[in-house]
This record gives sequence, C-alpha cells and structure tokens, in this order.
Amino acid sequence: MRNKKTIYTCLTLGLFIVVVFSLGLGAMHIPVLDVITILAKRIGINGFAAADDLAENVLLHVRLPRIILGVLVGAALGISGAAIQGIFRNPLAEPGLIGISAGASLFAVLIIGMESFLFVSLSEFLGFYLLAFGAFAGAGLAAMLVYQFSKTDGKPNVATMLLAGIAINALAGALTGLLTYTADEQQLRTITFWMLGSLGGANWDMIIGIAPFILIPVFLLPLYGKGLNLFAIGEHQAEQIGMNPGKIKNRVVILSTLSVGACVSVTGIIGFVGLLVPHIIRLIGGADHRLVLPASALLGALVLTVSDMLARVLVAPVELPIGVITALLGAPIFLYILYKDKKKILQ
Amino acid sequence: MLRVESISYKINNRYLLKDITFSIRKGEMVAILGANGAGKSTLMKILCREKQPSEGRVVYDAKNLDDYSAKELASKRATLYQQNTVSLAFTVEEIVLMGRYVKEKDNTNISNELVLKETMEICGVSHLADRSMLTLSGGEQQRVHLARVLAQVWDNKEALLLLDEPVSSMDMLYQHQTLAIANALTKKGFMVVCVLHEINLAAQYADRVIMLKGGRKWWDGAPEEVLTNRNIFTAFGVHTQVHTDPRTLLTQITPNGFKLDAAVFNSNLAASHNKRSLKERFISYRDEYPAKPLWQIAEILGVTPAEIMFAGLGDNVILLRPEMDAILQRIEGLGLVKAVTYNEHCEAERIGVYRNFSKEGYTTLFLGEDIDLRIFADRWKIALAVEDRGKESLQFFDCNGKALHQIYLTGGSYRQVYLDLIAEFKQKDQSAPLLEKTEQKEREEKRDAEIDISDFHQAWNNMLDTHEFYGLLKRFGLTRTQALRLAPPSRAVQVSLESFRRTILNCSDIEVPVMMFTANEGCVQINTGQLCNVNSNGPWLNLSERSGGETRLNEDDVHSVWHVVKPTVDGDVNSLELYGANGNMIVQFFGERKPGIPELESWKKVLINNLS
Repeated sequence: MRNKKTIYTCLTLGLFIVVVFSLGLGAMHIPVLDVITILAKRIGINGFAAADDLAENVLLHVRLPRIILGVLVGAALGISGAAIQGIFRNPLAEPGLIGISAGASLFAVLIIGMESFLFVSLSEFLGFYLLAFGAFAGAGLAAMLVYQFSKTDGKPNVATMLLAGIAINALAGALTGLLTYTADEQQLRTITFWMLGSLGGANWDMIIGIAPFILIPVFLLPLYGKGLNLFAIGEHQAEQIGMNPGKIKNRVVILSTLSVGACVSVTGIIGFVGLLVPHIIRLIGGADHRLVLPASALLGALVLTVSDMLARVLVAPVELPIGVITALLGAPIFLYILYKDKKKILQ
Repeated sequence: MLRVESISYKINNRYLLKDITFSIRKGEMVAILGANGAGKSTLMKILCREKQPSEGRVVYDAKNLDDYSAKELASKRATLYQQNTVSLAFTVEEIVLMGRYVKEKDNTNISNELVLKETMEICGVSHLADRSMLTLSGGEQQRVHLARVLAQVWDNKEALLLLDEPVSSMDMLYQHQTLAIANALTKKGFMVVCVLHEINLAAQYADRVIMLKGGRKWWDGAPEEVLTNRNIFTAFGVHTQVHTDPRTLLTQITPNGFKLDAAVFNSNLAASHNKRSLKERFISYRDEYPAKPLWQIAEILGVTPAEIMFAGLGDNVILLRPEMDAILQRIEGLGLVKAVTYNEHCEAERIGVYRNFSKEGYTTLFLGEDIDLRIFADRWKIALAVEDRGKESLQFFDCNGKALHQIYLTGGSYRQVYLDLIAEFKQKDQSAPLLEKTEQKEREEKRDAEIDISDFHQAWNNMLDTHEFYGLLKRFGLTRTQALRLAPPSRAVQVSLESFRRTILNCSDIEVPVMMFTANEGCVQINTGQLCNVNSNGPWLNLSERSGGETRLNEDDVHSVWHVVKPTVDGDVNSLELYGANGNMIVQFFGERKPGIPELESWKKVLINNLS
C-alpha cells in the first residue's frame, strides 16, 4: 500500500499554507501575521497586536468569502472529476470535456435570461438556490445524454463519449450564444462571466447558499470508493462480486452533477481542474478510489486557490478570469499526459 | 447442485438457446463446447445471472437463482469473463483484493492477506503484485483476474466457478495451469462450468462435456462418449482423428486440417487468367482429398468428369472409338479385372472376369459369377483408356460427360490383351470430343389423382418377374418413390435407416447372402455374395463382401428406405430400397436369388425380424 497518510498530510498542510498566504495577497497587501491576528480575533483569541480596520474589513468581507468559495469549488470539481472518470471507466472523462459544465451553464444562463419572469433576484439567497438547481438540472441532463450515447454493449465507449461531449458542448454553446443576443447589457456581462469563470462575485450569502450542494457530495462521494474500484473492472464483473452497479452509478452521477452544477451556477465554467487533479493523484498514489476521491478534493481546493491567487495578483489591479489561469496551467499538462499515456488512455 | 431446467432465451423472437436442461453435481467439472454462435456465451450469461432466461429457470442449491441477494450469490459463485479491461492504473494486488470487497466486513477465519497470497501464488502473478495492470500482457491480465475470481470464493468449500473462455489469451503453460486449478478445486467440492474452444483441453480436464449446436444441447456425457469424430464433425464441421492415449486413457483429437487452393479464390477471373491448367488443378485437389470421388472433384472444379480426363489426352489418356459392344466383347479376354460403378450416393466394385457377354434388346448383359452387369450401351458415348498413378483402366462416359463405368486392370489381368485392344480401337483424332451436355430433364411427378390406382394395384399384384417393375412405372407414368407410396397394401412400407442398418448387420452376422444393385443412367452393377464386414467411416457405410467386393453408400444422403414386395412366378420377392432426396435410387438389396428358385427363407426371416 502506498503511503496514504503522507499524501493526506502534505495536501492538508499545503492547502492551509496556500489559504493563509493568498489571504494576504491582492490589491491591498496584508502581512501574514496580520492575517493570523485578524482570524484569531474573529474566533475569540485576543492578545495579538491589533491590525487596522480597513485590513480587517477587506479580509473578512472580500478575501475570506472568495477564498472559501475557491476551496469549496476546487474540492467539488476535483472530487466530481475523479468520480465521473471512475463511472465512465476512463481518465478522459471530465465534466467540462463531456458537456456536463456546458449543460449546467446553459441552464444557468437560461435562468438569468428569465430573471425578470421569475420574480426572484438572483443576487439573493433564494436566487442562489434557484440557480444552483437549474445548473444541476442542466448538468444532470448532459451527463445522462452522454452516458446513454456512449454506451455500447453495456460499457461506455471512449470515442463515442468524447464525440457526444463535443456535440453537447456545441449545442449548449450555440444556445447560450443565441441567448446573448436577446440579453441586455447587464445580462450580457453576467453571461460573459459564465463562459470564462470567476470567483469575483463571492460573498457570504452565496457561500451559505451553495455550501450544502458542495459539502454533501464531497463528504458522501468517498463512500463509493470501493464501488468505483469495482467499476474499473467492468459493470458485469462488479455485479458478480456482489455490488449493485446500477445503484452506485445513479448515486455517483447525481452527487457529482449536483456539485458541478452548483459550482457552475456561482463561478461559471472552470475547466481542466476536474481532469487534471485526479490524474495527478493517481500518478502519486495509485488508482484506488478510496484515496483518489478525498485526495482529489483536497488537491482541487489547493489548485483552485492558487489559480485564483494568480488571477488576482498577476496583472493587478486588473483581474484575470480564473478559467484562463486553469487552462494556461492545465492544457500543457494535459497534452503532456496525452503524449505520455496515449496508448493507455485511448484503448 | 446446479440444475438448469429447460431454459430458453430469445431475442426478437429468435431463439439463441432452446430448451436446455442439465444438472451439475458437487465436484464436477463441465466443459461447454460448440461452434461460434452455438449459444455458449448466452448460456454462461444466464448461469451467472447477467441475463434472465425467457423460459425455464436455474436452481442453485435448492434455491431459485433469482431469489439470491447479490451478496449471497457473490460468496457462492464467481465468474471469470472472457474479456476484462481495466482502464485505470490499478496494481495487480489491488485488482485481486477487489474479489474480497464484499467479504471484508463479515470476515471469516481466513485473513484477506492469506487469501491474496495464496491465490496470487497459484495463478503465478505474485511477482507482478505491484505492477500496474495497464503494463501487463493480455494473458498476464487474465491470470490476475483469475486470481481475483478465486479470491472471491476462496473460503467457500463448494462454490460454483463459471469460466467463459478463460484460457483463450493464455500461453500453453497457463492454459493447462488454469484448467488444472479448476479441476483441483472440483476435488475440494467446487462445481466448475467452463466454456472452451480447445477440444483437447476439454477432453483432458473436464469430467463431462456438453456440446451445443444452434442453441440446443446436442450431446452431454463423458468426454470419451461425446468427443467422437462424427459428433465433432457435426458440431464444428471439421474432420478429426480421435484416439485414446494408451498411457493416460485420455481422448485425444487431431484435426485433419484444411488445404485450400488459392486458384478457387479467383473464380471470378476469366479462364485465361487462371494460369493453372485443369489437369494441375485436378491433381492438386486430388492430393488434398484423396478420398473424394472423381465426380465430386469435377463438381468443385466446375467441369464434368470426362472433361477432367480429356485434359490428359495425348499424355496418359487415350481416346477410343466409341464402338461399345465391340469393346465390351473383348473384356473377357483381359482376365481378372475390377469393375466399378457408382452414382452420387453409392459406389460398387468387384473383381472378376467379364463372362457371358450377351445382348437382350438394348441391354448388354454380363451374367458372370462375379461380374453381373446390365449395360445400356446406347447411353455410352465416350470410351477412354487411362493410365493414372500406375493403374490402367478403361473408363466410359455418357454424352454429358458423366462417368458410367470403369474397368481396372489387376495383377491377374492380361496386359498385352489390353494394349492390343487399345491399339486396335485408338481413335485417329485424339482431340477431345464435344460433349452434348443435354439438360437433364427432371421427371415431373404426375398428380396422384391422375393415376388409375386400382389398375396399378392389379398390375403390381400380377407381376411375373421383378424386371417388369420398370415397365410398370412407364405404363402408369410414375416415379419410383411415387409408385412405392401408391403401392398396394403391404407391398411397400417405409422403414427407418436404423432398421435398414440392423438388417444388413444381421445378414452379415448370420451369413445370409445378399444382392446389391448399384445403378446409374448407363449401368447396373449387381454384387452378390456374403457380407463379411459392415462398418461406418463418417457418413459412409462400407459393406465388404467375402469375395473382396465392396459397396459404399453415403448414409447422410439417404432420404427414405422402403421395404418392397414384388410377386413373381417363383413367389414373392422382398427387397430393401434406398432413395435420395430427389427420389433417385441409391441402392437396392435383395436376398441372393436365381430365376426359377424361390427367394431365400433366411432373407425373408431377417427382414421380418429386423423391420417389424
């Protein structure tokens, strides 16, 4: 057995360091010590030298929600990427690649377009739920379509899966494009934000709104580690060992699309995290889903926090869309994996 | 115990499995054999509960297979699929451990580590434990999956092991190793059902063989019972030699192998493109199928038997003037020769002297003791002298190029007389004569209603000689099989092929001499004598006579067998007549008989004993 404990410790420690570090970075620099002081004060530990109020305000109402959102979304993307790769029995399956994110964003954009008919302001608490559910419905529909299309003789076929993903991406993209024509200026800006992804809109309401959709899958999905392992040797084979593949498949797909939908509804499409994070975990720790699932959540959170930090500081005071950063980091690594493992992946 | 109770499986109203019933006892290893598409895999899928039978049910340990929970069944039954693809980089050890997943909680007395160690050791994958599955060869992967499947039921004493073509990707060592493992587990109380393609592995390791064909259970029994060359040919269409190893007493099967001539792949090319001459193609075919008769090879090459012979003109074949009666009168002078007459279903040969040449109307007769022939010489159009593989013969063909009769020289022949005969009758122009190739007209059967049945019955009952039967057919415009069908009561009765066989074997056993009439369009050869040996070789039934004569008939071609009774001045004459699917006569059997003497009592008795 590979050393699971070391992997978990490194990832948790790394995540903590990155979170603290990125809390200090940004348009306004806050030294690490101040960050710790302010956070300590919030949870009732005084005795450190007081930092100034402005720094405290920026930290608590701008940076902290944004970084917590980054951690949540990163964890959700990482773990659902790993789960979906497990269900499709293929390391190329990724929510963005096979159309799940596009489906979610299409439905989200639809809801934005109909905002005036819904009598609900989308920037409010209830609005986040509505958006999250809409995105979940879109993600679920896309996942179901791709799975049905890609299934030949009871097992998913990689080529068909990718082709179906391309088709769904194109369709959702076209419909989203169509909607942008009917959108007003404000809506247009929101829609553009969807396509590139950003953590910029983070606030505490939003976090409380989507937290259950992300936390429930993140804590439940690791329970299906064994089931997904058996999926890797085939559905029929899993059944012979005494698992119920249909049940596992349904639950895992629902949980992962739920979390992906929730992420897309607040941050837009952030690509490559769900594809790369599980890959890196497997390279380090092997393919056992009992490790891959939780570790992908941790690494996903870490990667997204770093990406968001870069997005904020690289060309400060202007912000880059986070999707640009993850794609810039992810695409070359993805190409490298393809180059190295192409024979293994597309069998 | 596993009981399969008349299960059928159909898709879109097409049956993939039909009414299959068998049961497997504890400690039994059963091999399922059959050609591609025979239903083996479907049967396995039903046994492992992946598919539900359309009809019937499977009972395992007194409980319906459907009534088991997935977990319960998993601890009693493990399945190794033919194809197992792992797409993620799991290590070998992780894969084998998956077999224990359901077990981990209610752990029995054996620890998972021990099971892991033992199964991996047995399957020869211990040294691969930390390797990624993606880096292994197909055979190695299959062995890992075997270890996983064994691990799943390792702590059970009487589990059911289902193996669907487990060894197709393995090398020789592990093919045997795998089946030896399965066989060893049966000694412990396991039941093993195993789909195999390699018939010798089945013979070696299985306690029982079930052979499927077209979705049905064709045979079921011990390997030495089921694996006969006839059964194997029926199931797979391959001729084989089946031996019993004298040391191990195991059945061993050696397929005869095929040889194909690439020329046949180019049949769509013009003849000029086909560079090999007819003669070369004929020789190459005959070398491949030494047992095939000339007419069959001719059919494959798309020519007539005569045309094959014409290819040798100027070389080993000499064309004679078609003065048939003149030639035939000289045959007696050749001394001992072998007479051969055949049709598509039956072949007769006999060594003797062509004595007592005579003519009776259009019919030429040889009424010798050994050679007894009726020849319709007006049908004989081509006469050839052939020297082939050291054998010299005279061969006669009709206007369509069909072979009618052959006369082979033997050690007791006067070769000089033969050479003189050839010299005398040699045609000046040795180019191949044109064949007429008249269309064979199928005789249309009259409708039964058009026939005057009572007249026909009367005529039958008033026959004075068996020879009159042919005239009877002509007079009433009947085909032979139609006449038998409409015969007077108890004059013609259809009997089974099996009872025909019994009769003939009985004749050979209790020494009843018989007459066998083998006929084609130009000739009837009558071999009379005591049968001394009756045996089967594939579809061929060989009847050897004490005199050295031989009659071979193809039982697969036999469509109907009739017991016919014809009245004569000497009393009733009984015969057994065999017909092909198109109503052609294959061969007729009578008791030995001479005009003026009543039929043998012993022949009549044999018929009564074996046919009723």
